[in-house]
Amino acid sequence: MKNQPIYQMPIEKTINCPQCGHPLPIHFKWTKLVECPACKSSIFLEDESVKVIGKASTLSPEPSLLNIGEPIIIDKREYLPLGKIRYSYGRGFWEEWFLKGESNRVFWLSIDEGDFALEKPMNIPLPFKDFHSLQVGKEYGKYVVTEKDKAECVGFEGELPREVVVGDTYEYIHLSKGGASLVTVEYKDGKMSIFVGEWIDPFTIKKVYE
Amino acid sequence: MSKFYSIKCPNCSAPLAVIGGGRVQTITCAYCKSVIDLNDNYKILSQFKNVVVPQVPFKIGMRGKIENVEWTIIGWIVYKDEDGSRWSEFLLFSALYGYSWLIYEKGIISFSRRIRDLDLRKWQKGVATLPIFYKNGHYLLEDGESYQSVIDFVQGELTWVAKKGDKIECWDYKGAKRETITIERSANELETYITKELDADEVYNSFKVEEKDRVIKKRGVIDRLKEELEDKNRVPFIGIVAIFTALFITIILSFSADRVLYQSFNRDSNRSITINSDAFLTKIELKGDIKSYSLSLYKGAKKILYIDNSKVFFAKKTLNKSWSSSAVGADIYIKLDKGVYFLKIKKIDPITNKSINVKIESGVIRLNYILPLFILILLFLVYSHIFRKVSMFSMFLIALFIILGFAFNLSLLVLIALIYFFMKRGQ
Repeated sequence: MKNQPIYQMPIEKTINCPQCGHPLPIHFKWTKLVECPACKSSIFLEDESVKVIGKASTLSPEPSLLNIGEPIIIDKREYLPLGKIRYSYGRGFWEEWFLKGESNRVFWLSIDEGDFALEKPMNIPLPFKDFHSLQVGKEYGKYVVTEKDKAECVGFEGELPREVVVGDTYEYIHLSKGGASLVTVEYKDGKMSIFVGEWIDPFTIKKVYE
Repeated sequence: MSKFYSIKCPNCSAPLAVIGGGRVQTITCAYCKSVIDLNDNYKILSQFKNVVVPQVPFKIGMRGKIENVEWTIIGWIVYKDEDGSRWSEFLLFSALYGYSWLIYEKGIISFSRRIRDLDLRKWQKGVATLPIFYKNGHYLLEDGESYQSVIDFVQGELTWVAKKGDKIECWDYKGAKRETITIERSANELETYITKELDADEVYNSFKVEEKDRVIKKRGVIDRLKEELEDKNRVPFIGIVAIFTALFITIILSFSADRVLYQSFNRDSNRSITINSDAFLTKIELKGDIKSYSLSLYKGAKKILYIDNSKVFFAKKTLNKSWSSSAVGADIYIKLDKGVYFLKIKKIDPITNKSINVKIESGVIRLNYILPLFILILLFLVYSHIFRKVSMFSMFLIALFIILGFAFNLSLLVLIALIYFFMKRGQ
């Protein structure tokens, strides 16, 4: 019993890796990308078809408060980490964890050396149109731009609700309207994706099964 | 996140390990005190020349646990304020939790970490001297004003470029449980930190500080009591309110005694009286020519009380002393069970024509006894809570049992309360 997992993730469906045939349980209804743990292929899921889109680069193991498949509680709500993307900013990197929330909702937990932010994708009106004209420290409507930078994807693990390509870069900004509030706007190929959430205290993250 | 690596100091070639993660911007050489920019080809930004390295118990590289998280000391800043007081802030790094601070000042050790969920816009628009509210507590500005911290000395890794003489304006807001919220404003940033004082011995043990290097601030009894009360400030407050509410109810009850008899007698008489409640005491108040009469109280055939001007019989004992010859009144308090009693008034001076007034009330509270009892319970509870770590809920139960036990003469309740107390104390 010692080596038995204490939590069995609910499985939506199981596919076989088109590269090596390894069975791949899928734990989220709208998973788009999954890494085959056997052959490290990146497998893209679309409707009923699956295709290999390349090799997922192996991420070096780093200590983290989260583990794939180990449910956590943040502010009395339960989340299941299913995958993570690692982004580089030159001398270091940070990770975006994909969390499955209640009612199959998508959440992203950004972990960057003690700075934890929990966000969910949401379409909200933004008080600007030109992403590139934004300046750090300036106010736009009720928001202040607190950070503007570029990120490069260096790899992923587990399953994700969107496609990512290792080596791809995108631009992003952080907006704040005071307190812990946070809005992240990602910009890639002329399209903006908006994520709304807040900074959280890492000491409030608890594991469901200690 | 990033890998650990080491560099050579571009000024003195000393080996310097960089262990503090990807946010570290500068490292100050421990040997030549050069501040090296890790983001710009290891350029020397400044040098802390001719500075005396302060003697403190902590060193860069030490590891220990705070709040169950393992931290490594990676950097060290010494600040001074306008009064010349100096204190050390050690930058802590954890691969899981990022960066925090260990603050050391004359034997007092605190742990500080950044918080982001305090609305600083509201604070910026408001008045800094007003209290601030964070989570479930409120915090008051210490000393009623801000102060300036000036960097005096730097060593090791930092997440920003710090130079000697850099100034930070700080507002310390003191809350309960030795917690402080500090708002810091530097040239570029406005940041908020929550700081909690730690048990110095626990930190020294965890960071394996040698005995000879340990400094612990000596505190007087009043300081310790104040800290203990601060640590549990809300709990004794609730307890004290509960006890004083009980005292208030008792005082109100003392005015609502049940009058059983109020009559004047000038000859031998017998009266039947009924005591309906055995809570608290029964008071027999005598006034008038008390020297000339005797009073007896019977329950069935059993004599409960006898009193005249020369002796008293009560609880199977006779005392050869009652009131003084000049007394014009007497109050007798006895504990009587519920039931029917017979009161006998006998004229012992046949020539007197003066009368005696007898008033009997049941359910009487003697505040003379109750007040010291309450004070004793209060002291006992405060002592138990502070020094014996008995929880407030247990204390409240004990107090309730003791009060009810005394009120209704239920010694069993008092006994249960005491057993419960000693069980809790033993846990």
